[in-house]
Amino acid sequence: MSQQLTQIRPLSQPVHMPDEPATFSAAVEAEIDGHLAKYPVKRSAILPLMFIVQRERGYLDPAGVLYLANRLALRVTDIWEVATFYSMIQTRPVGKYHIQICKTLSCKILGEPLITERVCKKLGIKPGETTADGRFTVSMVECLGSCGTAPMFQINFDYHENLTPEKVDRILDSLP
Amino acid sequence: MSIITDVIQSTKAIIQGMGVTLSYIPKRKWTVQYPEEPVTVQPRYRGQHLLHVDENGKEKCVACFLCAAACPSECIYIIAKDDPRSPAERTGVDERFAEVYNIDYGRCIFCGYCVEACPKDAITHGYNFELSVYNRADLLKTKTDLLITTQLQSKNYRVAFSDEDVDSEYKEV
Amino acid sequence: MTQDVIKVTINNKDIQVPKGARLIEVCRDSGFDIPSFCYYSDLALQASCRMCLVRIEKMPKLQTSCTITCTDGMVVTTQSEEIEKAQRAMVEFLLANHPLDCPVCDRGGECELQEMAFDWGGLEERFTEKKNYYAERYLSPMVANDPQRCILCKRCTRVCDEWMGEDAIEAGGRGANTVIGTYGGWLDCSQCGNCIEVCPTGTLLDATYRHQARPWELAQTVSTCTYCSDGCQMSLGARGGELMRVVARDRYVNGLNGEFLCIKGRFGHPFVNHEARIRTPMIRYKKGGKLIPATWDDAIRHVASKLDSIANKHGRNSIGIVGSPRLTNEALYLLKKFATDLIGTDNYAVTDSVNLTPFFANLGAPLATHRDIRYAKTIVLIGGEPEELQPLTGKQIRQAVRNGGARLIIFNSVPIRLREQASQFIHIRPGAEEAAVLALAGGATDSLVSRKMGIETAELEKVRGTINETEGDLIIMFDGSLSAAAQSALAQLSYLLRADNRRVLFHPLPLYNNSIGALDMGMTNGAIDVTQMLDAAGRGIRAVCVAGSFLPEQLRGREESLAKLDFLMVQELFETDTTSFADVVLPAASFAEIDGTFTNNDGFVQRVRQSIPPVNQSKADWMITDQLARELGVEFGFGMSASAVFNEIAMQVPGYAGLRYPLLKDESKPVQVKHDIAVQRDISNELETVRTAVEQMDESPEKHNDTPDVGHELFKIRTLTDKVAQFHLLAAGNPRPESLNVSPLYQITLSDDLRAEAVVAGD
Repeated sequence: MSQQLTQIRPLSQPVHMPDEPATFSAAVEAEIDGHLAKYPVKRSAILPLMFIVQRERGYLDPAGVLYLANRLALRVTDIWEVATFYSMIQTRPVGKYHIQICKTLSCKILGEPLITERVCKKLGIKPGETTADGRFTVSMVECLGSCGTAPMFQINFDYHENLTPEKVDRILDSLP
Repeated sequence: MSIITDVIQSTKAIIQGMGVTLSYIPKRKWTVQYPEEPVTVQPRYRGQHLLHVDENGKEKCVACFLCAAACPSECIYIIAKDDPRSPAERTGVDERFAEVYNIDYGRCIFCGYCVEACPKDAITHGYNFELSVYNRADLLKTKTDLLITTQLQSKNYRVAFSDEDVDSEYKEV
Repeated sequence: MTQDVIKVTINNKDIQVPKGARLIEVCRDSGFDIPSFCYYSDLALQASCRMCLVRIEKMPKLQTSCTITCTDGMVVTTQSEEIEKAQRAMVEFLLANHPLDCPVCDRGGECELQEMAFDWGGLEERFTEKKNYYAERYLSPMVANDPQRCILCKRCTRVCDEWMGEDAIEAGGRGANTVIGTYGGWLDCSQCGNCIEVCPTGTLLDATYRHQARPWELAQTVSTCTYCSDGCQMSLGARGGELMRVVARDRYVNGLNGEFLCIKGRFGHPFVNHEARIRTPMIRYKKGGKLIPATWDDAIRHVASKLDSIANKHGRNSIGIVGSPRLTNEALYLLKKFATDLIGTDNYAVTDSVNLTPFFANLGAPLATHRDIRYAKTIVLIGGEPEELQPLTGKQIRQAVRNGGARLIIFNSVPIRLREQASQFIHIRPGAEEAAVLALAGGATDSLVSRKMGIETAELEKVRGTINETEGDLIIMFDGSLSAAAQSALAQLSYLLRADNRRVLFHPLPLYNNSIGALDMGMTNGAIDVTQMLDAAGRGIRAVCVAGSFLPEQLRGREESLAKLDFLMVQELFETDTTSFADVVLPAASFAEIDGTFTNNDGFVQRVRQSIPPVNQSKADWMITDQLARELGVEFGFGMSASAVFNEIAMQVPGYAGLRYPLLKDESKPVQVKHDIAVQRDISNELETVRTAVEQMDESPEKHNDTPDVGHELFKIRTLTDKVAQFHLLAAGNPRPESLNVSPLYQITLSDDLRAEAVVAGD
């Protein structure tokens, strides 16, 4: 086994399950009830609920997963299965600014490696990591559907397109 | 056939035969004064087995039992064990290693199938050939006797170089 | 039932198949081999391995035969250059991330992927990219996992969901990075190990057999499980007189359970070669003295002389003979014969906690087989907890509901896990199970029954409504909570409930592997039962011979009575509470060391085969009885042959008439005992007795509202499971170790407190 190979992400972090599920304010509970009411089968509401839990708690933490399992009458492994499938669902804490760099074909050809290098160098982290001050997380994601303006990345929900290394510097510096 | 031709032919045959015999007298001798001088063995000679270690001194054997399965005389006995320690502390290259590795030389026929079967190049034939013992039980060699780091090598052999033509004399015949 | 027959053409061969048949099954049945990894019959379809590709005329592309239902006139080609090219490409993809570590992989030699690669040969690997790598790890004390070997067939996740209903293992991530695992990395489930069994590669492995042996050097012996009454068929892998592992892989064994085994069947075997096994016969020459090893001849002579003198002094009935429902039919038959014919005592008993005699005396319909359960349309479960106590029955019920659309009605005081599958769960008060018989018999007592059960009357009407409106088999299951009268009445209910389109079948849920066999052999309770015998110790009963041990619950509060006996002989595997009072202890052989038969709760007589020679000096129980009889002057004449004993059983026991060992050879076609079917009779007396009992029933007990933990029965430490270190971890709540890469056994020390909790004797 001499080849040192890529680590598989979903399993690398052990999780300790809490005894109690997460709790949410009445307004959030009402929103969740609203989503649940839309579907004949409870489990269909798994994605909207995941987004709500993620919005409220920053990421899908074990307590949040337990809450979802209870609400959707699923087992925690079912939640885990869906959560690890989508790159939009975070199973680990992310920084205030989540920089998602598109690594798919158009961006790759038009200079994504340079962008990634510049971002990482500036922040001093590797893709998949969070800065020590908790401000930035960099991750590589599949196509974000903005090929016409490649290369691009997304900071939280904002697109930044036609990037150049210099533009990256400006964008990162201008973040509050 | 007359008796004269008979005598002539026999004499001719004797002279021919003696000719071959006499022609060898001035040549180099092939008799080896074993054990006073070492025997030269071929590089691919199949002697007592050797269990190898890798460059870090870890046993290469992962106790896969393929040698035991390939062995036609069923003389190889292995007990595999799990080694939960970290790679640096392990006995072998993998977490699986042979706790016991015995070869019964009372049964081994030196066919080399075990060497062919080994996926890790952990076992090869060495050159030790003096395997006779006074007690039959001593024919069972354990891992200590087989490991390359601990096997006692006989002083009574030398391995021929790969380009050394040790038996061309025989080829001529 | 008539089925439409349609015609399909496979490789120019016309084949008649029933409508709705699956193409891959049809091809395989007709002798056209189709490779596949993810297809597993009776599981949800996956079609992810893409190995079963075939060409179907008029379809644009190659089709996966595992997802195709045959249609009339379908023309199929299973072998062609095009198909092979596609399949070879698929294997190349599967191998793209598969490490070449077959030498250290425990699956090496019985791996489906390895087999495929060898069969085809000439597979080239063109990918030069780095392979995915993940360190080997443990998912639980029982399951080892090597994610990089995974080919993502997802058999394990489907088995976990559909068979076990636990959903404990799932696939996380996506694309090439998908891995099988659990949330948090630690498996909290019933640890059945079926995911290990169905895994086609070495991804999920038996952690208890890790790196112990290779499959080709194990001698595989087909035998019957010795734990619960389901009688699963399994293959014992032995090497050099040591039982190494137990599997149900269908390449070795093809029994009623398919590849299903529970945690006890699969991992509960290390007791066989355990060092604590009793090694030699032992005699306690003086009460209160020590057990001293003796020879077999001395021990048997000692027993014979003691029994002789006690019988002469106190009469024959002062000797009690006790059998265990764990013994083979042969041992139990001979024990009964020994008790009645040779000793001549009425005081024989069996250490079973459930007595099903009244049920079998009134049996109005045959016993349901596990296959019947799978295809039943209505299942009524009264009491019991099959998913913990009879796991195969639990699995069959679950599949009947999930895959067969059966209706499941549960009467239980505990919200057992199976209720997730139930169409109606009737949450009754503890002890009110009997009332369910009244409810099934008719609506006359509904108000009483519902009051005592603590439910609405409408629920009982709904039960009868469900039974009346469904077609197909109705199976009634019940555990030991029913009284004799309720059992008799229930056994006759089949005449009441049957209809033209419906069979009624029974499935009792006794606790031990040969509970039914003990009944058949007549080795039930004679004049008294076990507890009465213990209470009479020192007075009516002077000497007791026990094959096995008393159950802890039978012995509780009665430990003194064993000391009061003049003489106690015990045949056991391990030292138990019972042996600590014994005057003579004889080492008995375990199920892996003997030949014999067990009768399971289907009524199937199944063979137990010798896998290894008896450990230490132990002997089969029936041989001990035989030898003792010889010492007492009676020659049974069986020599060393268990089959000779079985021949006599076949002559003496009506239900076993005509059976011989050769007829029981094929485990895939088990033979059912022909239990006498009682004629219909008036059961109003029994119902009246039950009604009176129900009327007097206490209404105060609270219902249990908590669903029991997974494994609360399975993980219990008993005499046999005590010998498996991993069970202690599970019984202690399956603590998560520091590192997942090393077996938890190396990391967690089993404290003495943990071991002290082990209930000695009785398993």
